[in-house]
Order: sequence, then structure tokens, then C-alpha cells
Amino acid sequence: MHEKFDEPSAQDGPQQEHVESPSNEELEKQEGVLKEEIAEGITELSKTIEDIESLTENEKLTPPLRERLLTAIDTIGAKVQTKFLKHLGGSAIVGGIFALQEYLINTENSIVEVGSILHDANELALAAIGVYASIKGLKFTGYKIREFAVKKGIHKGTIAGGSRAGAFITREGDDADTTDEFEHLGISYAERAALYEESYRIFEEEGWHKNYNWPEFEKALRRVQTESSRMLAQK
Amino acid sequence: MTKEELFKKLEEISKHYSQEERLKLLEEIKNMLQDTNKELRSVHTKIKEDMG
Repeated sequence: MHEKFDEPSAQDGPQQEHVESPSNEELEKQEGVLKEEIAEGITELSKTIEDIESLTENEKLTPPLRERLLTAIDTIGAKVQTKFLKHLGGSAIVGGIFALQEYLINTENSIVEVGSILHDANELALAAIGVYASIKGLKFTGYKIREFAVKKGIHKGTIAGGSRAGAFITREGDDADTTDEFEHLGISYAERAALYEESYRIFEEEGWHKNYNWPEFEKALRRVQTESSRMLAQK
Repeated sequence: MTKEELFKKLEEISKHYSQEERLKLLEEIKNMLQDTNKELRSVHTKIKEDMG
């Protein structure tokens, strides 16, 4: 889709080597066009994701085929990561991912593959996306994303801590029922309660939930995940 | 979340960037979406073929 944008015209923006400083008006116009194209890209990606999700539910999808599908998606994830990291810092990546996946969920499209595609971009985002999916009733999505995380060697404490943070991100915090998710990770109710309490304390301390500043969020999330891993290691 | 809300959020994220940097960010997201969709569509087609 949109091959024409791979061959930019002379009017295109600052990414072109020979373009003299465009006016503010031109830059704003470019930004508007890019936003429209992104919206269109999200719509198209949503449809593809929906089609893939229907495949994963198809009984004809044998385990080897399923594995191949997941591996292919995993590979794409690595490519996406490279592209994001080329220009952006960690916080922007996290924020961008949340914005995109939140958009998909709220338009009632599945994020099954979006989560897995993007998981390599930032393990923090991955963990939080997992719980977000669970909260929204997409249990299969949450399972799958967490399975990717475990496969990637991410400690279950890190995943659990990120999930807790995900609950805060959705602003459903205390009301978020993540029992199922924690059982999936093999974390007991008592451990879950302790993690919950500690995560809440850290987020309170960092004050992230008051201003939703991404760098502060990332800092808080790192602390939550480190502490969660430490607590689970002591069991 | 509406499209407008999505971009509002993206703008919040990129508020520390200059306009040119922001354009680069948007361009990158756009390309990522296009490439990802293309690759996923190809994966979808291949798996569907293999399923018979």
C-alpha cells in the first residue's frame, strides 16, 4: 500500500537532502498528511490482524504451522524494533506503542499480533500490553504476548510488574482483575497481592499517574519490574 | 480512542521534539505500519496456502 510514498516528491519534507528549510505552514501541512496516512495504515493493519487472528483460531492450523506463523511474526517484530530505535528513544517507543494498541482495542479490533509484532521494541510495553489485553477481555492475546515474553527470556517478575503497571496505565488500577493472568505466569494469589502493593507504592512515589509523563512512567515501571523480580526470586 | 485522541497522545509523547524531528517520527511510524502490514499480509497468505 501507498508505494507512492516510497518515492517522495520534491515537496516532501526535511527527510530530503536537497530541500531548503520549509516554512512552518509547509511543515504543518506535511504533518497533517502524515497523520492521515498513519490513520489509514492503522486501519489496514487492523484488518490484516483480524484475518491473522481468524487463522490462529482455525482448527486446520496445526502446531507446526502455528509455530511457523509465530516465528514469522517474531522476525517482523525484530525489524520493527530496528526501525523504531533508529530515530526514537525508549519512552517514545513505549508511548507510541500504547497509543497504537489502545487505538486498535478501542476500535474493537484485535491486538493479538500487534502486541507480538511490537514486543521486541520494548519489553516494558510488552508486559503492559499483556494485561491491557486481559482487562479488555482478550485473554488469548494476553497469553500469547506473555508466552512471547517468556520465550524471550524475560523474567516472570518483570512481566508481572509490567502487567501491574499496565493496569495503572489503563486507569482501571485497583479494579483490574488480573487473576487469570497471574495464574498463567504461575504466580500465587499471595505473591500477586504483595506485587500489587509494592507496585502501587512505587507508582505513588514516582507520581507518574498524576501527570502521565512518559519518562517518569518508564522510570517507575523499571522500578516496579526490578522489585517484582526481586520479590519473586525470594520465594 | 478516536483518531484525534490518538494523535493528541502522540503529540504529548513527542512534545520534546522539534517539528522536524516530529515529522521524522511520524514518517517512521507510517513506514513501519506499511512495512508491517505488507509482511503480515504475506505471512497470512502463505499460512493460508499451507493450510490448504
